[in-house]
Amino acid sequence: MNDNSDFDELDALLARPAMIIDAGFSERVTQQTRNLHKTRRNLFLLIGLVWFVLISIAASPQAITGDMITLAQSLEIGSLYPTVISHIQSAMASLEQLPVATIAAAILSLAAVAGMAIRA
Amino acid sequence: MTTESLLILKAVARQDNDAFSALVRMHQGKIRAYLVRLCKSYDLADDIAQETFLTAFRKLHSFNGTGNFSGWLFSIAHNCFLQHLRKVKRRLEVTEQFGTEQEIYAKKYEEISTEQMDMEQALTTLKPDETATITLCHSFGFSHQEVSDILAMPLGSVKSNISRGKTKLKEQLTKTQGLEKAS
Repeated sequence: MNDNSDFDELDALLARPAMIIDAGFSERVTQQTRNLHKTRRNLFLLIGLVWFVLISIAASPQAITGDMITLAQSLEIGSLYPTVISHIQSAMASLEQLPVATIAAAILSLAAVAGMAIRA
Repeated sequence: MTTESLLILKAVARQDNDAFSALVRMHQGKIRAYLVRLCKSYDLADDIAQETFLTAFRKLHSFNGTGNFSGWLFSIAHNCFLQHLRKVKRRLEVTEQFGTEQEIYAKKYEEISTEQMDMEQALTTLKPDETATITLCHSFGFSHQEVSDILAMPLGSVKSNISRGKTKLKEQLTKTQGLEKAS
């Protein structure tokens, strides 16, 4: 047998690669991609919620405080009420002192981080 | 338009999980067979293949829908393999298990003849670049230029790796056949 026919045989053998059986591999990958999809969606929803809260606070801090007080009352968390209210009021007071530019910068940063997280 | 093209369009345009799942089923055999040849270990090849498909899913938006999807997947698989190599910082050696328990591992393939098993064993003796170029070009039908693009390797290197690898393969197979005849 000469070298050329050896190479022909080799090429023929190489052209018939043996394939690995699936044995649940595709299902495992699909499950992982589904989880990845779910995580992305939840992350997107969470970022949307945070965005909405930030916009609401920036737009009308007093209205938010009022809403939260009503919510706390309706949930009947009487024992926690004074502490929660004082925390909320101090947080609102700090936020009110923030200039609009700072809040805008925070929102833009959040959007940039969200964009990167979604692309990753 | 082929079924594969439709699935690719659905997966890319709508991020359709079912379409991507069908693509995984369509391509997993080739990708895993390629990675087994490079990794010389079935378990490691499976881990890298999973990483390959997850990366592909994450980067679907970067795929040009009309290009060669199979080539794109092989390119990701090869990069995942190289990343693994960099992580472990050592050259992959043929594991003793892989070399001696071929009969047990033969069950991992859909269908494999003795000659094909000998070939798989002979391929473990090659360097990763030689294995990659020969497998892509001769086993999966990519042109030299396509292999050059997939592996990001100069065309000349692709050709020399194939030539060197095939000579080594021929020697290895002659040795194996000689041993079989002697026994």
